Amino acid sequence: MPPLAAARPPAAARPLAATRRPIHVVVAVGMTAGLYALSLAGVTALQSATDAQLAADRAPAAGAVAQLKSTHDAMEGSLDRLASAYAKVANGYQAITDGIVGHEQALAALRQQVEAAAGSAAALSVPSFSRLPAVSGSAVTVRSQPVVNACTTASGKPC
Amino acid sequence: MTAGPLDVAAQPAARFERRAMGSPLRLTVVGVPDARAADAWAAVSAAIEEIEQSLSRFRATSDLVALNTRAGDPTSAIVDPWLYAALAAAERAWRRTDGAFDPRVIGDLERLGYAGAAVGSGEARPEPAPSSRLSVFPDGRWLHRDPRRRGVAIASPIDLGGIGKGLALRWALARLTTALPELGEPAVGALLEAGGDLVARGVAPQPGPWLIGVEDPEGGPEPAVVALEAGAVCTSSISVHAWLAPDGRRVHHLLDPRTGEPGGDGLVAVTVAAPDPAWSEVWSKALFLEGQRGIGPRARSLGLAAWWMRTDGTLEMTPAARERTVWLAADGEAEARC
Repeated sequence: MPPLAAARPPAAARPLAATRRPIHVVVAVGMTAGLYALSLAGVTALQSATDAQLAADRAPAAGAVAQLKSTHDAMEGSLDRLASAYAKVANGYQAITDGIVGHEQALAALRQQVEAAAGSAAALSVPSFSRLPAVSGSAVTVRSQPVVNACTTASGKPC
Repeated sequence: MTAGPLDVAAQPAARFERRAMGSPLRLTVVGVPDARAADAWAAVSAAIEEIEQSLSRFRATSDLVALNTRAGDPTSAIVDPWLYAALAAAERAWRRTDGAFDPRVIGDLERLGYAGAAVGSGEARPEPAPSSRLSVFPDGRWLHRDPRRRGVAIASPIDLGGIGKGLALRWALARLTTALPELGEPAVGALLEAGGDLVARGVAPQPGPWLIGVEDPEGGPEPAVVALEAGAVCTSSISVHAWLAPDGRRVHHLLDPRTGEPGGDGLVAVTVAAPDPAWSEVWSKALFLEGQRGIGPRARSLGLAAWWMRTDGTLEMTPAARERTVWLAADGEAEARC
């Protein structure tokens, strides 16, 4: 039977390269990570600049939106006041309507009285024509016929 | 034309006369030299001639006759300022009198045989007879006016008649005032007459206002004398334009537009005093058509100074007219018996 030592080679005899990681892989990984970091930094910088520009561009719109909101609030207040005034007018109109109904009733009663009076008047016997008494209101009245300057002659005859 | 002093004059007055608008046209001027009065008469006479050439229905070449030939045509015709203003005034009068004044009664007048009195140099040209009484356009109006272009369209022939004479007096007085600026001075006055329609300004020849005799259409003595200080006195009477119709009836020219027949039952004349002669004419016609039953209430409700004579010769008047009446024959007779 052969000895054990002769059957198994010693460990120190294996080559070194077979046991270490290759250096180029480490370098490649490091470079890739560095490149990625640089790209990320560049993209982040670009994104940041774009965001800043966008924020600057949107600033007037934001101001306008704020102004619009303020105006809208004011309009809402006006509408509230108008609604209140409308309600007040509607109440007044209703009161007037109630008054008109009362007046209509009074007019209907008056109409009945007038009809009754007209019927009484129609039953009376009155002359169809009556001559008014002479009115003495002339500022100037002369006793004898004055000489006139002209006449109302439709024919145009001298008077 | 004649000129000379008036018998009643306390101060010199010049008087002129000629025929116009189918009746005598007279002008009395007080308080100015004869030459100035003659200039004023020339201005008035020229104005009346222009107006008659525009408004007369009895001049073949007048603007009104030309317009009447287009009656019923809704397209506007451009007319001269006189005719445009007269048509506008006639429309106002028609509205104001609720149709009692209506210039479209010409068709009814011709149906009754009225021919009018041809005046001027031209021959009268008959207007086409309207197809129906008081024709209107489809919108219900008888007159379409375009004031910017002075364009008018009439639905049926018209006769401006009395209002035309009143307007002529109004415009002639304006021309007189322009020609005689001193008319507003204290000692200057004028009286312009056209067929019984009168308009006065300023002083009369005698002390006091102008005195106007109210005519008895039957030819009797004047029943009243009226004072006129400034304004117009116009009369609608049936003493002249009355005739026998084709059916033998005695008719006159004051037709009621609502019936097409002579109106004014029981009246022979109505006189109205008003500031303006055209409206004085319009109201005298409208009141006449009320007849003896309606004229009093109507005239009093309008506050007009109106005198009217009934067929029996009775003269009646409104309170406003009584204030302007300086002499009444009835009072004179009563006082004579005392």
